[in-house]
Amino acid sequence: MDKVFTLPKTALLICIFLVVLSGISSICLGAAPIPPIESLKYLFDFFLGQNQNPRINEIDRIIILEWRLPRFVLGFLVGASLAIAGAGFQGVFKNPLADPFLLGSAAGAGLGATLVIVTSVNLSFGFVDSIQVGAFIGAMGAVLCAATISASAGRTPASLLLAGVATAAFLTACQTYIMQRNFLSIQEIFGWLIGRLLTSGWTEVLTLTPYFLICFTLIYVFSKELDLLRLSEDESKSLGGNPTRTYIVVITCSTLVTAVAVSLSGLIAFIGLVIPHIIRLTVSSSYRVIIPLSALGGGAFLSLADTFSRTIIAPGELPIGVITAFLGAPFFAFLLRLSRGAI
Amino acid sequence: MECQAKDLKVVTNGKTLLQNISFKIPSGSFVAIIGPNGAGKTTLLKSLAGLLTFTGNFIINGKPSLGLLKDKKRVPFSYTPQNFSIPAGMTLGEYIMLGRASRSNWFFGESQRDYDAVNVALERLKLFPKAKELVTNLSGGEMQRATLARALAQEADFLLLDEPTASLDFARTIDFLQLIDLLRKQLGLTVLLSTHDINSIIRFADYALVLKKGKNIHSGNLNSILQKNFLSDLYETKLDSIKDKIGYPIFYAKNHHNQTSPNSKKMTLLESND
Repeated sequence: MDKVFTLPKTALLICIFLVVLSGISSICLGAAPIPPIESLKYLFDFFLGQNQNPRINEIDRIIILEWRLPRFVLGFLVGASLAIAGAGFQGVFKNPLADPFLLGSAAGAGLGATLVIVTSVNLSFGFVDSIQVGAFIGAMGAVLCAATISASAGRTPASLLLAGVATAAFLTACQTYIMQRNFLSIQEIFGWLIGRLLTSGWTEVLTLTPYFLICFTLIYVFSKELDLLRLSEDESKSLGGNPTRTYIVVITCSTLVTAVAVSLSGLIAFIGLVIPHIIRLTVSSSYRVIIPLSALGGGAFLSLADTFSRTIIAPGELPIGVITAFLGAPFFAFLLRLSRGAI
Repeated sequence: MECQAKDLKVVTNGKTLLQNISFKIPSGSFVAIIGPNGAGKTTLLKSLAGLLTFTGNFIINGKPSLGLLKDKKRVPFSYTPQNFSIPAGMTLGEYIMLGRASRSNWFFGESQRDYDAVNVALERLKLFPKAKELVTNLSGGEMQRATLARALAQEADFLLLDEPTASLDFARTIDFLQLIDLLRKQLGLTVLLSTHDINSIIRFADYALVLKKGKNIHSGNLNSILQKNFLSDLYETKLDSIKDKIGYPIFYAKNHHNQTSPNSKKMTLLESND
């Protein structure tokens, strides 16, 4: 029998190619009039330790190294984080509609950010600004609230899911009320809600990287258990699985990495829901393939969408959530049509 | 492997599901677990598999059993529930490889040893040509064989099968039981199989565990229970039997209204059709 559960080389190479493509386009394209080839050459020279390029001045150097490059890396990490969190939730809840915001983290982050914007309260510490701190506290608070409600209702995945829905509905209502009472801030709030990547150098990248690495590793280690969860709970246990441990680890990691990602990028919808499904439909339904390829695919997709968002009406920017849905939805609808019940 | 249970008791949420369960099963037996609905057949199989906590002693080859999940190096039991899942998008090869999940490496995946075990299981169940097919495309009989292949891939000493023939037609039921019996003899397995289909299982099983209302009311040679009075009491309905050409009894529920045998009933139906 051929190898099963292994990463197909072709799919892996395509994903790596997309990451490289998104990286090159992200670094070479933008509102600043730097010739794309020179940007690329400068970057190669920089990595080779040769910083001498007469066509690149100090401002260009800052744009390439302190703005475009960290923005690409942040875009990749946010996209990868949302995609693996979405895949993790879909695996644990056995629900194709599951996305990273399932347990109320989006509503919590939205309420947290809204409160910070309308009250102008200073929550910043270090290099992290107040809105990011408010969004993180809101996201984690919402999930803890859902977990507390679920604990009193039997600690089953279904009760956690429903508690998440109830929490999200309540927090969204609170947020809507606050927005309605502070209509002067609505534009700023919507700008955050729809998602955007704004970097101030490498700070955001360094904030997200450790969470991403730890959560990705743990979710990947548990991907075999996620495959067992595709069977009934009794079958999973009888084959050596530990569903309870898997629920706890995967839900915790997915929630944490989502909370950190949305606090940095706002609510970028669609990626966490659709990227795992695209991998599932085109490559494999095994989580041992879906998790790593979702990380690469989600990262590449968000970086490409970000390049579109800041170049299509340059020097202005379109909200990145608009681009992810605008490009991704038709493609996903096409794949869904071909799937014929495979989801 | 010989196994022995002494005073097994299962209590879940304050409710006693099983009690006073004692039996001794010789190595390599084909054990039929029979009893009416709610007798505790599934609970017993789950308990032996380690999925439910029990009190009392369950001893395999003179040593207390640690249950299914405690000893990763040698999995004593392979348990297949009656209602197994058929995951969308999963190939048969992947499905059977899940039988190796407790042995394969957490991070680096399956070894050649795991692939060898799966290949042997696929060959034995004549499923090798379908290894790349989606399990959702398999027939009911093929899927039932796939669950058996997954159980074999676990390389367990005991097969615990919960009503595996419940969804199969007459011919597939006999084929499947024949296959289990063949594998048992070839591999030296001990099979514990719960069923309501007494007429089929008596052709293959050699030992019976009879449960009623959570208690073990009889354990021993299967022939010792093949009496209509015993089975009538067990199922709380009047049963009668006839013999087939080979001499196996065929049990049937008596019609309370006209006390006819299956043959006369069949005749009546044929006449009415004319």
